[in-house]
Amino acid sequence: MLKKDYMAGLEGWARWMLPRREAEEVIADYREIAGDPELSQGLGRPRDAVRPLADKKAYRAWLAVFVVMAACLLIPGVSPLPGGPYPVWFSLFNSDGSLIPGVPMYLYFMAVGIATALIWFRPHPEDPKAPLPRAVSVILAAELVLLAAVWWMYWQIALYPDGVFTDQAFWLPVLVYVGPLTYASHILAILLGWSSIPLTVLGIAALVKARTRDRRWRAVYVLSLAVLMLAFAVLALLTSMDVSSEPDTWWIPTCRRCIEITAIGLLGTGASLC
Amino acid sequence: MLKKDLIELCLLHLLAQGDRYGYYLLKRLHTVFPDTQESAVYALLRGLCREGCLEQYLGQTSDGPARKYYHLTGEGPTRYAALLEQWRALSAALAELGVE
Repeated sequence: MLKKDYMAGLEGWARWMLPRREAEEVIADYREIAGDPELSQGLGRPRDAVRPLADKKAYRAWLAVFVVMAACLLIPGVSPLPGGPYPVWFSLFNSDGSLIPGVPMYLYFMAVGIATALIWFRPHPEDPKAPLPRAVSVILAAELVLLAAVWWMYWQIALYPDGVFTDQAFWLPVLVYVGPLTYASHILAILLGWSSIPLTVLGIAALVKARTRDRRWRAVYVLSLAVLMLAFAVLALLTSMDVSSEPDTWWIPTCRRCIEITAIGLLGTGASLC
Repeated sequence: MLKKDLIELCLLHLLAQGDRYGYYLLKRLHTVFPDTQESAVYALLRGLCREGCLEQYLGQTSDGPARKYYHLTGEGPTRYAALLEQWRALSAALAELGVE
């Protein structure tokens, strides 16, 4: 393996397995060792070189935190897909039987995921100041566009509910090219439901990046979680069979929910960029 | 006494003679234990630091950039004495059996 490739692998593993400061120390030491042709032959694979250095307790704690954050995105993310844990999806926006009365399950996922990301990747005073990675800005911008698109979909449904449910997809003319108008609400539901896959993948990849590169990648995770929940809130509106609301005010609870999700998501994203 | 203990003993012995920088220690140990992975020796060195046997500091060299030096401290001398004692007992036992 070339020295450059070896060091790239070692840097990744060191930053994944070790606390940030220790990882940087180890990387600096290994740069010196890898520069010596005689010593570099006995380094072993990058992962094996780093593993004995990791404090097992601290590494397990990080893995546990990673699993919790990933689960907050993954469990709701796969729930509406075929074969996903349907009960989760079913009760995501339902506060009946909730641990805390009146608090639906989606808020648990958002609160735990965002709070854990903010606390675990909190800034340290000694951290060097660095410009925000360009990829983070680009992805956040794309996710904000997606957020706006979901809001636009919601707005169209709220304004013209009959249009969605009575086969008139005038609010989404592009769907004319996709299939018969009668499938408008189905296509919308599919779009919203399957958006969870890229958002989940992106969010989990951002957690890895937050650990191994720049902690501000957590902003991508937080916004992915918020956009996912917003898409699902609108999807729940489309698929809900709840007829308890008054005809004129049916949209109010969902609108409140969407505002709540957006506010939490944007505030969390802003805090994550600090 | 495991090979790991022997390498630890060697590291502590070299540091008992004076502060050394990491690269020197690895290079020196490589000549004695050429079959041992450098990453394993490095892990032992960091382990000794974590256990409070060694401390590290950045020191200047006459011909280059600042280097990380290791210094025997805290539990280090006690650990060194204990390992040395084990090694002497083992050598004596082997000598008694005629193993040279």
